[in-house]
Amino acid sequence: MRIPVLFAVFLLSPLTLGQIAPEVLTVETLPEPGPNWFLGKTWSGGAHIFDAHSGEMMGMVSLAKNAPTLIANPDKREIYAAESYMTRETRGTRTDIVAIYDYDNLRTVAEIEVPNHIARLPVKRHLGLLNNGRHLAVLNMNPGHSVSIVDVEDRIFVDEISTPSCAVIMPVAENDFLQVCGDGTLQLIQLDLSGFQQNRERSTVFFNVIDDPVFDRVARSADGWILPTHGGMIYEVSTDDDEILIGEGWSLIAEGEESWRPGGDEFISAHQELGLLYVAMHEGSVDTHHQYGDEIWLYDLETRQRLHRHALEVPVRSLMVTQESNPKLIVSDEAGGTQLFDAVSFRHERSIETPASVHFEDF
Amino acid sequence: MNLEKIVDQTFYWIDENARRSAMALSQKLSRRNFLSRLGMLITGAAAFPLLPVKRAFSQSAVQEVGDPQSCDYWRYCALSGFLCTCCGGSNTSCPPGSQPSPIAWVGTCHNPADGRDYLMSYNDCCGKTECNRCECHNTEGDRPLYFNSNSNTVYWCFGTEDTSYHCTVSMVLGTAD
Amino acid sequence: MAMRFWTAVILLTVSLPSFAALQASNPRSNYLLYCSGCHLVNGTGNHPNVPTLHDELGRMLSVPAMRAYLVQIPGAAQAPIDDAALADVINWVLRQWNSETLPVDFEELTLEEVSAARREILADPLAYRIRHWKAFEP
Repeated sequence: MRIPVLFAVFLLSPLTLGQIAPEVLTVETLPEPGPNWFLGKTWSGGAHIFDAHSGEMMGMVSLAKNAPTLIANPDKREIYAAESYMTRETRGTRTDIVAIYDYDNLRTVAEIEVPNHIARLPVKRHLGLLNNGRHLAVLNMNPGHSVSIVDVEDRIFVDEISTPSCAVIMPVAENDFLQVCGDGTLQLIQLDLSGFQQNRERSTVFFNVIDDPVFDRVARSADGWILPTHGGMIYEVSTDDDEILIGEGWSLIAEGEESWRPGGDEFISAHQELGLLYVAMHEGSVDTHHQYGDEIWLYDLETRQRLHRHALEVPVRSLMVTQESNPKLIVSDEAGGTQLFDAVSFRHERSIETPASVHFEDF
Repeated sequence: MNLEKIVDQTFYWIDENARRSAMALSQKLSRRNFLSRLGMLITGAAAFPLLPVKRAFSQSAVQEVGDPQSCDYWRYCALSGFLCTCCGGSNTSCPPGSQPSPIAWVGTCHNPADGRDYLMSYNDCCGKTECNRCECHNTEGDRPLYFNSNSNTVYWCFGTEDTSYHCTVSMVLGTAD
Repeated sequence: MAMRFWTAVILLTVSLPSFAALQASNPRSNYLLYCSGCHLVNGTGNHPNVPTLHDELGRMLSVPAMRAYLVQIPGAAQAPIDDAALADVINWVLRQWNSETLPVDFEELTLEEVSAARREILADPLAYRIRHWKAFEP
């Protein structure tokens, strides 16, 4: 008879279930980041950590809204971020901090209070790591500009350096950083070993902020920085002690291509060792510098020849090339997706649908 | 001081005296008090049709044409952010409970209604979560943030008690001769 | 505490762009366009982060070295207006809001003076101010 058999099965089932122990909830420790790992910084969330080879999310650094960016320090296995909090999220007492997160647990191991003027917009060069990872420079705007220096080793606030009309932080040499200024110059701030300003220099005027300004989005090169202008000029800059060296400008735009311009958010990135420059480009008139790119143009920095023009299906806001020998080109698109390409062949390897990243950082 | 005079003086006309008295008034009262009084009048103004827009309160009003809730509206030529006109405010008033930022950046926009160029002050309203409606990203004359006077992709919530960004207004300061 | 002062004033040939398109025809309009955003329409600034333009500038000018300062602070020097228009704006601000504190023998800034000062970049305005006048007290 069917019913007793079924009944017997039901009687037996609890007995078999009783032999499986309930699962126990544990916590992962972040595996050791590889050179193919990257962080996707979101607008109002934190940064999601991905492995570019597998496309898997490995963990998240949870940050205050509008934190400008974060910087990983592989030597210390720490991640630094500048964050601004209010006691009732959008109102109340404001406290700005530099937070130190550990690799293993992605939790804060220290917080250092800084002046309440962090420039709270997702921009990579609002933070810079100097002096072999001892000092973190944080860009402020109040509305005048300044830079806060934090000793992340001793975990103390050092000083706020007044830098009116100069922004962007480009670490150079060991203890120094360059900035871009509204009068068409670069500013060099040299720190002493304690993190205090020791010297300040300005370059000659090399661009015009009204006619063709240098972006506040730049790319690191093998020996300095690559500065694009709204009109598609490139200036390669570096320092030699207290001397600011600005290479002769060269144009991304060939004859007949005058309708093309660079644009987006963090639209420029370089592979330092291979000397490859990636720039997102769009067709547009003057003042379209925030427009997302329809193509990515690839240049050889040695010869300044363009190697490739890659058309995109979905316009791109930010991109980053990983620094490994088999580099990936990571692209954040208008639809909110992250696209991974082989950085040399431009073969599309993978799509990561969420989250929408504003820009990328690497380890 | 009667209400009509307050309204007359809240807009930035060519008349310097009117503008100066408005600022003097706003300093005597607290800024919130001043704006809450103005808010009463702006709410009343919403009953008037917006297309074409002509301010019924004063003869020397700026002539307007277009939809103040559209990113193409002439006042927004260099506005990046959310339109306060979609968030319970207007181009000269912040939504209820938000804080007007006194510090702004000033641009120049062309008014198709009268063919003149006007100086526009893009002030943020702050102290609330992002409004998230009517997001515009117009970048005429925008420059990177190291050039303060022309940088629109910055949160301009300076000088307010709470510095979280809610929305952006666009006020006329005068004509750009 | 030892404080290091320096005035990184660099003499260089500044090629200024043509400002025709951006320059208003009168100092009040140029003030509104390039100064009022931070210093406000009425010039009172925003304590403690943006200095007021009332009265204090007049007192500053009792120190001759501060005349150039008014031209060289980035907000003034970098305004996309030519030297004549910049001279007009600065003099306008001084007349508008500092008439009672200006030195008795005050003479308006001349075009030559403004052009010369503008060609020197004042890299650390705060340090210059501390050295020649006094620290900005919010």
